Amino acid sequence: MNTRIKELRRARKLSQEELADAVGTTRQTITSIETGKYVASLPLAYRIAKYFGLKIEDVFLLEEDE
Amino acid sequence: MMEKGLAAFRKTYRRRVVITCVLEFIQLVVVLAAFGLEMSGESAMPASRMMGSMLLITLLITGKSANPLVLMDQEKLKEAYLEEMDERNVAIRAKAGQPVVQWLSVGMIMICCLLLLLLDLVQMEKALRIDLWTAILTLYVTAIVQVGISWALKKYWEKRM
Repeated sequence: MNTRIKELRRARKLSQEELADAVGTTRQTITSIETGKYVASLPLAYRIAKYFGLKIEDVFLLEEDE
Repeated sequence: MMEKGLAAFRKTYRRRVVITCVLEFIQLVVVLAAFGLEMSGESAMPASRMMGSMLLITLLITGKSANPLVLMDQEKLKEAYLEEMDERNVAIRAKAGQPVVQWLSVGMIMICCLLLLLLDLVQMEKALRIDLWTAILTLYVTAIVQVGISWALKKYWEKRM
């Protein structure tokens, strides 16, 4: 699963810590999602997308073979 | 939404701290009783040091998940809440068998403590004493090993996830 979180976060000059605080998770989880080590659950994906004012599919990109 | 969750977590955490403190107090009484027996020369075997190590290990196992100081500091409580409720941490803990393994180990160590006191207090045949002693050691070592494995698994999954 690819995500645009890092790109969106940088565009808004947000740190991982700030994003984690805003969506109610930990910095380590944001790091893991950004690096693709961990796939966010639907509620967390929804909260992240909502925070950026986008749809889930605009933030989380499913690859063809997934 | 988080404030509501935090308030509920405070209640859960307080309950957990109370239960842990009661259990550790019982364990401390058992350790002191064994120490008293040793001092008065009534003890059949010196068990208080081993019980003391058991109390220390119980404190180490429960220290992070039931720390009374966390209840006094809102920031620490928030950190503990995120640490415990964060979905990645929940997944990692589940893969490491926590918190079941932790509490099971605490229970096993408490049983060891009580059996040691029994061994200290009650006169019994030598063969039975050896059997009981072997059972205590096996239970104690198993508790420590399973906590160690669980801890190692947690570290492994923290790196993988």
